[in-house]
Parts: sequence; structure tokens; C-alpha cells
Amino acid sequence: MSLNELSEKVGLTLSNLSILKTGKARAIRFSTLESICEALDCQPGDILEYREVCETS
Amino acid sequence: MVSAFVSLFVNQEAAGDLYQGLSLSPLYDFSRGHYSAAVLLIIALLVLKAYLFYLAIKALTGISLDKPFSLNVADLISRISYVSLGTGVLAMLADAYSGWLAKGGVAFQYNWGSPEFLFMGGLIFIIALIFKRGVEIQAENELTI
Repeated sequence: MSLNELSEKVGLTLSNLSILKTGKARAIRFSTLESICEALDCQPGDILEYREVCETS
Repeated sequence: MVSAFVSLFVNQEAAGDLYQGLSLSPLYDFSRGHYSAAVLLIIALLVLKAYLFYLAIKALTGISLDKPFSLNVADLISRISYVSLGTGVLAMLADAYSGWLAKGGVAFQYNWGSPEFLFMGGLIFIIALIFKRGVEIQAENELTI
């Protein structure tokens, strides 16, 4: 699925999807997560991942 | 400024009506040096007031209702608070100076407005802190999808 198609299905702008894709998003609303999972037919765990932030000394 | 220049270098009688009926003739008769100092203080305070108005207009024109909390406006509001506090301190010093002159027997009455500027400066400083927090919250909100 292209970003344009996802944007139309979920109701997000391309810039917001780009922010999500590049990892610059600070937070995501549950409603947005629900819309994305519904569009992609997946679970939140399939598209979210926890990574430990390495602190630079 | 023009009246002050005229009173110092052209005609002493101009000291009797400097700006909006302000008369510093007794001070001029007492000492030309102190008269010059008082006039310089008045001009400095008026310039600072004008600069405050300029910053306020610049801040107001920089606010967009779409995204009101911008770093530029936050900096301007901080600057307004610093200039206002500085003006208040200068006015306080000027007030003390005019008080000292009055004790010396010179009738010198001028409303320097020191408490008002200090109060305004403190208030705007708090507003600037809150506005900066607003900038942070807005930035985080923009990155909330």
C-alpha cells in the first residue's frame, strides 16, 4: 500500500504519515493507532517497537 | 529633545515649557549640570518607553492564531520584560536623584513611574515563562499524530 492510499484510508495528511515513518513523532493518539491498524489489518504490536535509548556519555 | 537643546544652547526660557507643560526652570537656575542630567534621564526613559511600545507591536504582529506560540514571540515577550525591569530600575534611580535634588532645595516634581514599570516587568516576566512553556507544548502537540 502506498503512503497516499494509507493517507486516504486513515485520514492523516502525508506530512503526518511522513513524521510517523521517519520516527520524529513524539506521541500518537489511540484513535490514530486504531485507524492505522484497521487500515493495515494488524495489531499495534505489529507496527510499534520498543527500543532502549542509548545515552551518549 | 528639541526643547532641551534650545533651553541649553539658545534660550534659557525654553526650560519653562519643555514637553507637555513640564517646567524645569528652578532646576536650570540651580545648576545647569543637574538640569542636563535630569533632562537626559527624562529623554532616556521616554526612549525606553517608545522601545517597549515597538517591541509590543512587533510581538502582536508576530502572533498567528493558527499557531500562537512561536519562539520569536516568546523571545520578544522576554525582551519586553527585561526592558521594562531595566526601565523600572532606571526610573527608581531617577526618583532617588530627584528626591536628593528636592532635599537640596530645588523644586523638581516629575512622575518617573518606577513602581509601575517594575510591576509590569515582573508580570510580563511570568507571562514570558508561561509562553515559553506554551511553545514547548505546542511543539509536542505538532508532533502528536
